[in-house]
Amino acid sequence: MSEQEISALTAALEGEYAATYAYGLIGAQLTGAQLLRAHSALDSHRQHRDSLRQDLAALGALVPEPAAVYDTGVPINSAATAVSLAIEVERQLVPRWADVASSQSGANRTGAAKNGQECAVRAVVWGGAPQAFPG
Amino acid sequence: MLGVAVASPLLVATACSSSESEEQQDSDDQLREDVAAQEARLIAAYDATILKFPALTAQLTPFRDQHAEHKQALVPGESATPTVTAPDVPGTATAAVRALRRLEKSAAGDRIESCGKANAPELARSLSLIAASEAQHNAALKGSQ
Repeated sequence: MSEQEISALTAALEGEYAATYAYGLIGAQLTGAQLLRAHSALDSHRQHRDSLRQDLAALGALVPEPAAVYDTGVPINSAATAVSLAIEVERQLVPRWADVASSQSGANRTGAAKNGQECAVRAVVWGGAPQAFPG
Repeated sequence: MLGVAVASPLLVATACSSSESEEQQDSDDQLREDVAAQEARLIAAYDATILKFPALTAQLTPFRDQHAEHKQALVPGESATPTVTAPDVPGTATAAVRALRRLEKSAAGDRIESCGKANAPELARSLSLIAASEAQHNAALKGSQ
């Protein structure tokens, strides 16, 4: 196992923990189609979280636990602040998945790159502008 | 910022890790050239579309410019002006945007494939981010129609 691989997987896991936490706050402010979108994003982040935990455990590496609370910067108390947080959370995950991709090869690498694409696309579906190098 | 903020060191286009063999470097150089040529074709497609439908300029220019950034990151220094032939632009603005969307969708898939072929981790990272950007373009163009 390489240091780089473990550090990339750990950073991605910490990002997925933060996203899972954030979507709890985000969902609480949304209704209708936006709430459904938040639920579906939460499901996807939970799956990625679980698979990253498994990957780290399989490498014999330390599997960090989530923090009890994450600082969102501003209070999430409206649909608008919730959507901004969703865009930020998704964008922040893209470079983390790119780091995972660069530390892997074969199907693990392309799988990580596709996870980064998923997050990048969700940022745009939430209303974020596309970026040349998302993150 | 959520807990663990990450400063992303962007692309170091010419960096090769010392563990790479000459053969691997040659293969990465070829990959950079190939993807840069595909980026040039995308830029040409946007330019031709904007020329035919000037009303789309404000909407499409940011996408076009992001492809120029991709190309520059892969093969620095070369002119951002493409020398490739643009594809035919459909007759209506709606169809023209749909055609760009198709190009972005296929580019996003091709970049994942290229990412899988890269030897240098830095190149794999760049291609992963470019794949994400082009998937965003596809989603944004879809949302606009």
